[in-house]
Amino acid sequence: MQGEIGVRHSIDYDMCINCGQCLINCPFGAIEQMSFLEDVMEKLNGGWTVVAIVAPAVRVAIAEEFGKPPGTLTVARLHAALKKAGFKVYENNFAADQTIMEEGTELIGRVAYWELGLKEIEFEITDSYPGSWRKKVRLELKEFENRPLPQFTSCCPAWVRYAELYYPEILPHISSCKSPQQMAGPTAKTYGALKVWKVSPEKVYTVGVMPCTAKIYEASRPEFNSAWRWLREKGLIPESVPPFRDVDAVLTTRDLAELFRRKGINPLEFSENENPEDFEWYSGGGTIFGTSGGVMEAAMRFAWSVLSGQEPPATSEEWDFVKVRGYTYPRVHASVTIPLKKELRKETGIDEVTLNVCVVNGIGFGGMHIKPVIEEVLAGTSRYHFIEVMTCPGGCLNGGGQPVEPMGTSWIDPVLPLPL
Amino acid sequence: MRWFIEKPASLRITRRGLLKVFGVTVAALAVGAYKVTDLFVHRNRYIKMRQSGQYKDDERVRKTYSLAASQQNPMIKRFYDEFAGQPFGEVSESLLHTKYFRRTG
Ligand code: SF4
Ligand code: SF4
Repeated sequence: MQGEIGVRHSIDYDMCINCGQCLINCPFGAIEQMSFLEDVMEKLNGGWTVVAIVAPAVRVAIAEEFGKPPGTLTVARLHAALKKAGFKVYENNFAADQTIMEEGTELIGRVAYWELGLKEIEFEITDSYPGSWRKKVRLELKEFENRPLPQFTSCCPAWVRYAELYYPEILPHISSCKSPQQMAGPTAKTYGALKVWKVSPEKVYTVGVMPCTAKIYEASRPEFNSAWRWLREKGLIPESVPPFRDVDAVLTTRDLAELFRRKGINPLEFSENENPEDFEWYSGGGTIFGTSGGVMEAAMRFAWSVLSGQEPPATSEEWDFVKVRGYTYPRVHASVTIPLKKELRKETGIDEVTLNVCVVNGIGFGGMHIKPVIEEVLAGTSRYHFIEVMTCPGGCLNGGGQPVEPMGTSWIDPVLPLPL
Repeated sequence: MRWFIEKPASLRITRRGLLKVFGVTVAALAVGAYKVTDLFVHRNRYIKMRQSGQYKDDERVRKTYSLAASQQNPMIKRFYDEFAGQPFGEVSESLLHTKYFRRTG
């Protein structure tokens, strides 16, 4: 971004990663984002199953638009308000849980191939509450030849675009998992439409509700029409159905607040009690995706339990991996040692694994925090196994689509004697 | 269309003027630096408030529904049992994974 002081600045769009930090930090509040608000309002008028994919960070900020302080938790009330407005609720936190199942499995695969030299690995994902659930996973590791260590997270589209633009050599290190939003879209249009809601997939309209401006760009990436491709391949929709997107529209937290206002709905007037159903279920690991270090902690909860076979009660501190939390530090690193369960000890011939992890909390001006981490990986001197990257300092809860906080963003206003 | 082209400062400003500009700049920088640290303190404050909300939600779902980790989510169990099979299975590869593209010239 450049320009003379006092003269209109310009953004070099080929270089921009759409993170929206300029928007929430612009001293004049002059930058605006495009909006799908009208499209979504029209789809809500009938004929469509309109699905709101609600991101973790929305629930700790949307109350600010209705006069409450930052951090006011809005979950059941937000769900109720969305349903009142005509949406079906698909928790992006559920999609975050999907992400962990896939990305955690990928991490185990990469470590098994590169560190333990295995050709295949078999393990069980188990949970014993309320009933016993076991899921056998078998991975042929040959394909992991092209998936080197360390593994980087992929849920932040601004980070992915940054890597594609500036460090393409790093791409094989980035998890092949789509971001939660992009997992939610195609799941809603396949499994959701066919097995859960029993509606035709081409009549499902998916709306990401995101703290983020990069998510708008992400949803428009041409390859993200995987539900349409899959449904055609399986003969589940007629050949004549034209291509549709996995995620049709994205509203920022600010946009959703505006939609509520136009419909005369105040989410804070609903009750904060509910019985979740279907895609409204999510775990603690899913919800902390909204904060820096959250994806890492959720992945550690998964990997630790799967590899060690431990399943303490949900409230136990053993599930807390406080040392990987980003809080307001620009970069955090930690080592997590996991004792292996009996079957895995036999299969691998070792007793424990140690995972070295790093959390990049905001890529920094000009990539100042992320660059050294990438350079190390490219030089072959990185000691990490897994690296989380969030473009926004603090994580998505400080994303470019969140309510603009007068206390810390548009800073010209508080300095002026009179409002502009 | 009219373009704004800034003249080099030396053509427009006298020596006395320059001193004035210098003084004002220093003043502005001093106030600015103060304001900017202030800004970061403020920013960190609302980030921390939102973060504590996020961890409160973690605590809530662990206490109310006994769900600490992703594999415990009842809908996750249904999703893999009724539909996707296993992580990195065929359905996952088609719907949940992707590829990246080099975008440099
Ligand atoms: S701050 Fe982010 S969105 Fe704004 S110009 Fe820079 S890269 Fe683009
Ligand atoms: S950190 Fe979150 S809000 Fe910020 S650009 Fe990335 S995905 Fe968007």
